[in-house]
Amino acid sequence: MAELTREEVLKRAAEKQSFARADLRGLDLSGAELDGLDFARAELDGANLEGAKLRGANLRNASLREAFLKRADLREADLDKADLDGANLEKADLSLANLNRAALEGATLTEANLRGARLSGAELSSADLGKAELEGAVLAHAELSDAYLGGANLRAADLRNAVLTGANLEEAVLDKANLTEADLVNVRPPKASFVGASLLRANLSRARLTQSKLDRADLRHANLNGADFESSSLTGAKLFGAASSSAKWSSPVAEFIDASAGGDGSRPLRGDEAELFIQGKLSQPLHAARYFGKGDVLRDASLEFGDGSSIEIDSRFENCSITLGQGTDLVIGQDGVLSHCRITGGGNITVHGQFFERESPGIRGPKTLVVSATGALVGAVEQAPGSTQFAFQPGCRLRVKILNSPNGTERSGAE
Amino acid sequence: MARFQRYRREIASQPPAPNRTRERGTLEALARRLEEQNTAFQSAGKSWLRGDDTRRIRQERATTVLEINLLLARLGEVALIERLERIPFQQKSEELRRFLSTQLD
Repeated sequence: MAELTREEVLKRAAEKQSFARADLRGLDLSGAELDGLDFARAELDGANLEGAKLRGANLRNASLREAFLKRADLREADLDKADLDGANLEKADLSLANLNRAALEGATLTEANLRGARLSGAELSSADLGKAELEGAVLAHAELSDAYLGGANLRAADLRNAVLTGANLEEAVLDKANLTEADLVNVRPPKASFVGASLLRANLSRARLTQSKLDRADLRHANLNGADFESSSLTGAKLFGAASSSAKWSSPVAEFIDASAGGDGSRPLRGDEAELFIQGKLSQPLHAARYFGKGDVLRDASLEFGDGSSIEIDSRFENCSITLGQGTDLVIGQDGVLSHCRITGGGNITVHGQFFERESPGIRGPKTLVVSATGALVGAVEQAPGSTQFAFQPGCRLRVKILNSPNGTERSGAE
Repeated sequence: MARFQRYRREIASQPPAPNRTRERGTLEALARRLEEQNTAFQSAGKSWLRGDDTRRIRQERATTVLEINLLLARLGEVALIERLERIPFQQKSEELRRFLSTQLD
């Protein structure tokens, strides 16, 4: 077992000595003052660290399997790749701690404070995070299948690409959380709150979302097949491109829903129209939708889209020519890049990504042109015959010339 | 919830026997089950086929510990529950064996 006694550890700790690679398995270090000390690659399996002071400690790659860390102070501690399988961290303070790629399978984190903690790629399958505080925590690519998150606060948490299959989220708060491309298959979040959350392209098939709040949630291109939305509220939810034909929609509450491709509120639907849309009976027959996903590259292509269709591009287009029909919605997503391209026609263009023209004017005749805070536009824009409506959000990057007509004069320049 | 309701029914119908023989028998069985589950969990953990098996055994083991805690609470052994909470599963089995051999004789 351990190579040191409790007394020896406390003496060395007072002298700020390093415990890197030390064998401290099964030691009783409850209440010990160990702030800022180096425990990198130390072996602490089964150790009792109840109420221990480990603020800012270096526990990178440390082994803490089945360790008892109830009420331990681990604020700003570095637990990168630490093994905490089956550890008890009930009511521990892990705020701003680094738990990236940590193994926390089956760990108990009930009422733990993980505010602002980094848990990217962490393994949290079957972990108990009941009533845990996870506001602003980063859980991108984390594995949370079969985890218990009942009553947890995940406000504004980053859960991009996280796996939550079969997780229990009853009464959890996920307002403004980013769940883009997250896997929520078979998740059980009755009475959970997702107000203003991004569930873009998330997989919610067979999810039980009864009595959940999804107002203003972005569910565009999400897979909702077999999901249960009984008595859930969806006012202002963005549902363009969501696959929802087999979802259960008994008495959802929605004053209106947003059916626009860009999720910008330009196509609000109410009443029967909204109901038909969320049942998947309205969007597809009336408006053809195309989505070009992240990672794809399209070169030297000429594309034409009919009137009223909707296109979202998260791919890279190089040297392409795009023709839009009247009223067509074209959204260049945050990951979309149109390099040396040209867009022609009376559509509605929203730029969250980047557009660089091939030759002037790069954009000809749009009905509306919106560049969001994340967007970048370099090129000339020739207005539609009856003029074009422009909207540029603060923070967008522009190098634009606006022209009145094919041979028109330059109206303004911006940078 | 179902487990708790079953426990309520049991304690209502069966007050602790003066010599605690029934409780001893149940606790021995639970301690044995915990040991077996722990061995199975460790074997599953070493296998390349980790995942569902490990998850299932982990859940079953947690349920066994819960049942042990309920029984010990009924026997008034609160200090032992607290001691068990702080130690790894392998030691929990050992501690229970020790308890069975001394306290319930």
